Amino acid sequence: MKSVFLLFIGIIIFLSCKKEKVGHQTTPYVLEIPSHFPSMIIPEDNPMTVEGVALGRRLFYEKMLSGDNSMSCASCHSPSAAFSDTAQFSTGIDKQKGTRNSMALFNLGWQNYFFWDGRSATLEEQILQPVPNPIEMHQSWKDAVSKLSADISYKNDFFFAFNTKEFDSTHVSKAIAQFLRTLISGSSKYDVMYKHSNNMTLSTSENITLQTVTPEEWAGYDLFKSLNGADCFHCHNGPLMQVEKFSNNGLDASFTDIGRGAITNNSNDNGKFKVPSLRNIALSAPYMHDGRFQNLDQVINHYSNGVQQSATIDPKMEFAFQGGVQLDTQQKSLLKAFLITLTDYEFINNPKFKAP
Amino acid sequence: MRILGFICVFGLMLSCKNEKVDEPIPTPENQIKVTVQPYFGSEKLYLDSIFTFSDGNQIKFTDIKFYFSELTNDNSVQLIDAAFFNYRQKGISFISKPGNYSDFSTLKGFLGVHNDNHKDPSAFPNDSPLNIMNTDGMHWGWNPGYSFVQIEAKADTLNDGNLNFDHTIVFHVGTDQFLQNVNYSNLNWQSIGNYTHQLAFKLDMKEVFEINSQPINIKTEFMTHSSAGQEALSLKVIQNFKTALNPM
Ligand code: HEC
Ligand code: HEC
Repeated sequence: MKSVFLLFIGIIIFLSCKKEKVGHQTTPYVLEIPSHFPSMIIPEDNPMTVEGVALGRRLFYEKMLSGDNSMSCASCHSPSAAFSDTAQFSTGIDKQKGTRNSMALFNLGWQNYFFWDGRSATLEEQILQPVPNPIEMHQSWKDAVSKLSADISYKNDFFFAFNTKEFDSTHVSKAIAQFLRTLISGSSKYDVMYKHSNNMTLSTSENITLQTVTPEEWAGYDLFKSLNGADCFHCHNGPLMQVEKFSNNGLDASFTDIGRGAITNNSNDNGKFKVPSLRNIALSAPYMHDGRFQNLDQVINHYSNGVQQSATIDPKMEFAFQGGVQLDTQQKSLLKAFLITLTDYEFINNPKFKAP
Repeated sequence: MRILGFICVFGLMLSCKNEKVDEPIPTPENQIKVTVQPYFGSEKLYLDSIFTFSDGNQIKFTDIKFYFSELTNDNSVQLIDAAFFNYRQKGISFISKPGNYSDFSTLKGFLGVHNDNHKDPSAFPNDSPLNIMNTDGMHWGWNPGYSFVQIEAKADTLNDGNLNFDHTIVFHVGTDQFLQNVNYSNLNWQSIGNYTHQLAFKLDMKEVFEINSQPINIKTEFMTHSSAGQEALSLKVIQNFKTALNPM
């Protein structure tokens, strides 16, 4: 009796004091941030781990996330197009089209707003949207998670990444967000030009690249920066090649899509859209929120003489009163030569970013 | 037997007691706040709202931004190394940090960015107003440095009864030659709650344009980026701005 009792007590003590079983230890993921970039702020509740990034990459290319298993994130964000879509409007699984052009995905860890109208404030929140969106992947998160749960290898991957056997949409979005934060583009010819112009030390390979910069590319860079030339620099500048704000760059005199205004309910924001980065711009045609321009020539023509006045046009579109910056043929081709230096082949061809 | 049970229960309690940490009661820290309220003459200025100059021209401001740097008292005790006023994004709040207001009955420093102007804008700490991520377009891509003052507006200069704000005003003043010293004394810090004191500045945008000594004629003087050939207007803008910005 006594020994049974003791044993019983012993078991209780043992059980009650048992430390919570230590699960799998994750491995911290070290981001490779270019020397001329600001540091990246990682949300405290979603630290970067090797396991999380690997899972996120798998999920980004996972067609099970769509209702009929036909579409993944990559369907509208294709690596060869700088993770955007070459179609003006992407087609969802039900053959429906939206009204916005897909956005190129890179350097997302430095964005404060997501989507053309900035309606999401975090990447984690943004990622929850495409799956249930009826004109995109059109599947409830419940169904998406149960499909994934039926796959043992996913169960294991989630366990290794988040130490949980019961995962849900928040884990999916955290993993994809981790993967997206690794999509850093900072090794284009432009980067070498930027670093050189600012007296930063160049590596051996960067020095070799520097020798390949043509006089036309330098002249285009000057024009791009010149506030009396192409005047692009006001909104597209710095290491990210964008100023983080919403702006109306004079596409229309009246708006079919009011953009930011629909989010803030402030008519002073009508016709304003997120200023996009111009990195990898030669790869991410068509252009603008509605993909109205097929190529860079059309974009340059817009800024040159197609600018439309409206109540909310950005005052920094300084030459709007004369329809634009009025570049001549030679200036247009210099500007285009510069825009092409923003293509980052190392980024585009990075095997770590492709389908696993 | 009862004793044994007692010991066991006791042991159980002890063994599982979490280490209890006694938290000290934090001593409240003194806080300093500095605000800047833009006015148009005697009216409070709101962005995107219409204000009328003495000559009947009308204006809507879309952005008012500026930097102060290296603000200290007379004995070189620093209040802050850089502060960024951004009316659209942060409203009237300018500086907010721990500190004793009584140390700062005077403040001097720069309107604009002094020593840090040509440093790598990516290399400042994440919470620095000079970090490129926090500059909201106030940086010119490293070499020329920061804009010190940015005023953007749209005006209607026709006075014909039709509202048509198609005359753009863009004043971007920066580069070392336009840096201004500022010096404020007898500062009137107000207590706003037990441990916080606040200093309020008034920025009169009407004065920026209408100041007697050197008024700005928006019909002809409406654009500067502080580049060559734009020195006169750049200087006028930043001097007038300095004159129009005062502690209340
Ligand atoms: C059917 C096409 C489609 C699919 C599938 C799709 N997207 Fe998108 N994505 C878009 C479009 C279109 C936009 C811009 C939408 C807008 O602004 O309203 C966008 C915008 C984004 C942005 C915002 C980028 C920025 O800079 O603000 C991110 C991030 C993104 N998508 C990630 C994803 C992820 C992750 C998935 C998979 C879970 C996904 N997308 C699936 C079409 C798609
Ligand atoms: C006043 C700010 C501003 C200026 C100045 C400006 N842009 Fe833009 N740019 C924008 C905005 C805002 C958009 C997105 C507009 C939209 O989609 O509605 C944009 C979009 C673009 C795009 C399309 C990007 C994409 O992913 O679809 C290109 C290319 C571009 N700009 C190039 C230029 C060039 C070249 C110049 C100089 C000639 C220039 N921009 C000047 C604000 C500006």
